[in-house]
Amino acid sequence: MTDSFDDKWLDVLAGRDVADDTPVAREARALRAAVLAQQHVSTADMEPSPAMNREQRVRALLARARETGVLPQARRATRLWWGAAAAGMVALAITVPWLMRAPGESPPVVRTADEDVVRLRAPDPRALKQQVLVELREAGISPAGYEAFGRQGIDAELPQPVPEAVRAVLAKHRIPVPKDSILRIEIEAAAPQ
Amino acid sequence: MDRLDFMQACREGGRAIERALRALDAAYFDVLFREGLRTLRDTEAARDAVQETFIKVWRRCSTFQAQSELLPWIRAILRNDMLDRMRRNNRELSLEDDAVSVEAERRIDELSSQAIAGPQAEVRTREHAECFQRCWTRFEEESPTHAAVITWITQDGLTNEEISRLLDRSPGATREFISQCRKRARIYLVEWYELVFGEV
Repeated sequence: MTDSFDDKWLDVLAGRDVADDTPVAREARALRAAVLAQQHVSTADMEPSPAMNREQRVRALLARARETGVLPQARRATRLWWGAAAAGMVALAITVPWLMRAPGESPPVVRTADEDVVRLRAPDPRALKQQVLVELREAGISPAGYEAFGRQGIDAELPQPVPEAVRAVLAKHRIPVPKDSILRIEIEAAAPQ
Repeated sequence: MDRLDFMQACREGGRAIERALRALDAAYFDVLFREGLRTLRDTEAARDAVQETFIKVWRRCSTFQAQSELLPWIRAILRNDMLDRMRRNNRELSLEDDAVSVEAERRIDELSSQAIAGPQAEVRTREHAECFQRCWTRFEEESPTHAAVITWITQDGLTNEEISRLLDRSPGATREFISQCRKRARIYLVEWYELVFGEV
């Protein structure tokens, strides 16, 4: 076949030159009709996942914009306030679980809290994310997992009051129950022991 | 979102970009997410691609031309991002040494030369649609960039030049890519072509 066949095929596939009735045009016309019909059917049940509502999504987008420098970082005063609060929570988050750790428990997971995000560190972040996702789903909610900039993340909207089954999952991983209904977790790789 | 607001936010930066990001998400997330999901077949990958696209939109906002429409410009950035993802995944199978290629070409040429009833009417039948879906799914799995570009040509009537920009290839390389699209479609859809053209 020569370039002219490819050109003809492209034109008919794109909806141009539709009066042509050569074999290659018929072939392209049939393909065009089938692709369009399939797109119509396949988009009918493709609604955006309800697991991540719009506000969660926008917060993730803005956080990403800050990380990539598209948006400036949060203001200094806010950062200082949160820095002090986070430092206290970091101390608690590291010390308390360490003291309460069961003998022989491994691998270590480090927890910190920054603004409304619970940050975890684990030797295998993806595995921990999958484990938490599965357990939260089994507890009856619909969390959304994601991966961005090397971090594994989980966002979920919790029903209020937070069900016992969900509380149990959070407690198991020593994740504090969020004050509002939004649970945000980020998991980074821990440095090798 | 109004393109003049977009351009103003691009000039102002800072908080204006934050407001504009929210507006972009409200206006375009759903339509872009659907396109992402259709192409990538993965909810998380589609959401990530759309968010990455919104970030790229702001990195490139100074290149947006006032006479252009915003959504097609953003959609082109999304498609470019998705092509990169598919290339990184490197899922394309080679056509080299594929004996079925020659036989498929010969058979389809033979069938599509016959006098037939209108293929569009035929396509509407359930059997044809199911067969197409089956073949197309395999095409998407094994040759995702070619399947995606065929879809975009069909949806938006892309020209050679537009495909060249999308792929970031020379006109000659783009012609070769389009030729590959046609050949690969023949291979993966041969069963469906036989059904459509062979029943009369």
